Amino acid sequence: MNNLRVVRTTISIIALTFLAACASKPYSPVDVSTSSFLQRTTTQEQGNIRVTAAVPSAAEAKALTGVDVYQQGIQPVWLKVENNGDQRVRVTPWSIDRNYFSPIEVAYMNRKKFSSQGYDDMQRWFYENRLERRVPPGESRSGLVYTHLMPGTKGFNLDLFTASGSLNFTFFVPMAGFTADYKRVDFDNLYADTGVRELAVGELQSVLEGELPCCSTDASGEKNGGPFNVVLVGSDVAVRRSLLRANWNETAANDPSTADARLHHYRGRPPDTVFVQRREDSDERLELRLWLAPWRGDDKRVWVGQARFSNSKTRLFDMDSNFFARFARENVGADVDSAVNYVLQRFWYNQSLIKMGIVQGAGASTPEKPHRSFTGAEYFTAGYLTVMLLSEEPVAMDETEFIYSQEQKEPGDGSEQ
Amino acid sequence: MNSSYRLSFASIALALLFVFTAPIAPAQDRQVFQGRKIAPPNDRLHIQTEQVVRVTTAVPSAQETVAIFGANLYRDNIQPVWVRVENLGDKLLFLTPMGLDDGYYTAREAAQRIRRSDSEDLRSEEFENRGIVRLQLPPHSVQSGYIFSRVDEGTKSFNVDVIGDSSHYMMTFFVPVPGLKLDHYEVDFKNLYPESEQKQVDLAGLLDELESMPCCVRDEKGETRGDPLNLVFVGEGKSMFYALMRAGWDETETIYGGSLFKTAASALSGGTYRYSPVSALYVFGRPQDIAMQRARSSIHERNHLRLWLTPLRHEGKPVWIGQISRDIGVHFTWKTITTHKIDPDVDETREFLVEDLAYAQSLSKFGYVGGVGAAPYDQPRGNLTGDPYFTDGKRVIMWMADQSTNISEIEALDLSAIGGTVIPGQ
Repeated sequence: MNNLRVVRTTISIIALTFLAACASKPYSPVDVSTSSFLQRTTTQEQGNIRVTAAVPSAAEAKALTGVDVYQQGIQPVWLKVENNGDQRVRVTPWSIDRNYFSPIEVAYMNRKKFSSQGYDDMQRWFYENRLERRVPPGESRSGLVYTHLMPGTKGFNLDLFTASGSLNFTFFVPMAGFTADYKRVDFDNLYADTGVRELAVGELQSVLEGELPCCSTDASGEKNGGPFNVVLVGSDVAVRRSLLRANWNETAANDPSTADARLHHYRGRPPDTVFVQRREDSDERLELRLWLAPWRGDDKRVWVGQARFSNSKTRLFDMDSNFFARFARENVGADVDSAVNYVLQRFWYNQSLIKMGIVQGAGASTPEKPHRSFTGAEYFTAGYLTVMLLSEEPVAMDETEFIYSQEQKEPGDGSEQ
Repeated sequence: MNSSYRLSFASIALALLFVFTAPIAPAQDRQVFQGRKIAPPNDRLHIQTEQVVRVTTAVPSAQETVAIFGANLYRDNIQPVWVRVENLGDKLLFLTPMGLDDGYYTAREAAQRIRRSDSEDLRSEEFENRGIVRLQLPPHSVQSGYIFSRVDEGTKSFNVDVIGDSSHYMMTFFVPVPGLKLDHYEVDFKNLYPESEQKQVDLAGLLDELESMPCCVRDEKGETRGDPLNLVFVGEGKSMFYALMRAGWDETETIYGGSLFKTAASALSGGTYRYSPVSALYVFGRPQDIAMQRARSSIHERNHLRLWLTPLRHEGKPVWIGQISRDIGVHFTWKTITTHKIDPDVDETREFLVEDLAYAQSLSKFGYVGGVGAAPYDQPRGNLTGDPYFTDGKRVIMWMADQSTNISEIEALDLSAIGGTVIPGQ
């Protein structure tokens, strides 16, 4: 008994000492304007509004805030908004990250590391260095917004509002140690030999149906890969902005999780870019492989692509727990049309889709008689291509225009009979 | 709500017949992607019609999913919603399941989740046969099937969106699933304020009345002041619910005094799905009429919203007043054992809501009025659980849009000339 009591007391004392040591740390505020990451700013201007952005690295963010926010999945973004116009400007942190963390929330998450006075000081620092939402005419505001950590280049949208409408900015801030796959592609010279054909969007249907092959191929161009099922048309800004709004993440060319995707070729080259999207409450992520096409629609670049689900877990574990998933009858990725549905809806719900149409694509296959890619992956599809025209400006859902003939009598439209 | 009502044409016998026949039918008798008719899971049907679109929905309980799918889907955070859509018009339409749940599962994804946790030999085809696998709704066609959404606590509240060429049909359903009660069902909104107590107000009158509304919520006894009432909605309950759900808000259950332990116990035994009831706060001498929550990055981080109907009517629409808070952690109190720590920057949370609804394409205009009373950072006030908060003292008034409104079309009103207020750069 006595021994036990001694042990218990000792443990308590050790624990208390430990806790006290942890919680007695003061907070040492840092002056943001002296931070080294502010030497890497990018600036954009629209009308009378100038926006400057910078993103600290993990180490810089720790030095700045006093806590390892990257470790907590939080990536601070520094912004300066200069309003040289004569109207009030409203800044919307929501447009940067719809689930952004509030400044005091980040402070509170880290309260245990500091003494009571230390926490008070920290909370005040986070509050005072927030980005204010309102910028009166002739003034400027700068501060930090706490977003979710994104792998690779920090891409984000920023919408500003004035009495006369919205201004939409899109930023890509390169982060050390990461190069997005598309940065390695010289898009301007991809079709230097063959040329790029200018088309009206209306003409695109017959070109897609007549000239786009059903599928990607292997590197040799001999064996068929997955089906092309999406086509994106839009200005470069519109496409990037829409992908960001719809929550897509870019990847690096050497990202092992996209290695399989890069085996697929179109016109002899692997995807110009691969985007992925993790989904809440699901292991299945979405993958979007895009190639620049040798056509332009209404003076905008045309991208042909493949959308599909891919399991984000490693194969080793997947095999054990999910034997059936390897076959077309069970594999989530085999159902490529469901992936297209997701891509389409994401654009729709995020105010990016100005026009959409469905044209003939790869042709139909079924779970019983699936088509097989050179990788061995089986898939089935109703066989259509979904053409999506993306807008730089926000588009309400009831403003999306349907193009091309929509008279489809596909098998399996699910109608009641 | 008025527009959704129960239909009881299906007899219990028929329902039972379905329950016992459907799951046993051999898989090879059904062909994936063949046109088929999927019977509703129960006789608790809800129907709404919007111009050329008629939508019927029903939500099976956890027990009912066992009968239909051969496994309890709820255990894997899957709540199938049966949807039947009739396109009565001449144009192609699209049903977008993302309107119901933006993280919905595809049919075979649902099958795979179940298979992982259940030893039963469930096939994707069983789910695909019953799921909505195509979005297209050809003219004069009927489609029915399940959308595999994530589990909501209790009453399943969801939107069904049908989109056409330059058109959008929006419907909101509240489908009670046995097991949970929601505030808004307990409230008889029609008779809350007799005709004589209702006040029709113009804009100046609205601002005037709102300025003099109570600053804050109170406790049950009406003695202690709590969180500030810093938001106002002008709109029919229906549009308000649609907008909030579109932005990712769910309705939630309220804990009333004595039921605390009962609710906690039921939460524990209720399985693995998300469940987080809120406490009751009081305005006009009654607890909130509606309680909603929105999960952010993790299910432990939520924003909570409470709303009360006021006697005011503006532009023919009811006016609601409310309170919003952002949970930023859990802490302990003597009074309620544990409680959420709220972000003391309540204006930040208020502005988040404005943006949340704006991006859901649901606001037509907004502006500000006083009434809360300012409390600066260094002189914060306290709420009912002793948390401090600071504020500029303004209330935001949000007008709900009747149709999708893109963010550039929303009007930011300067109400300062007529008794309201303005936040520089609102």
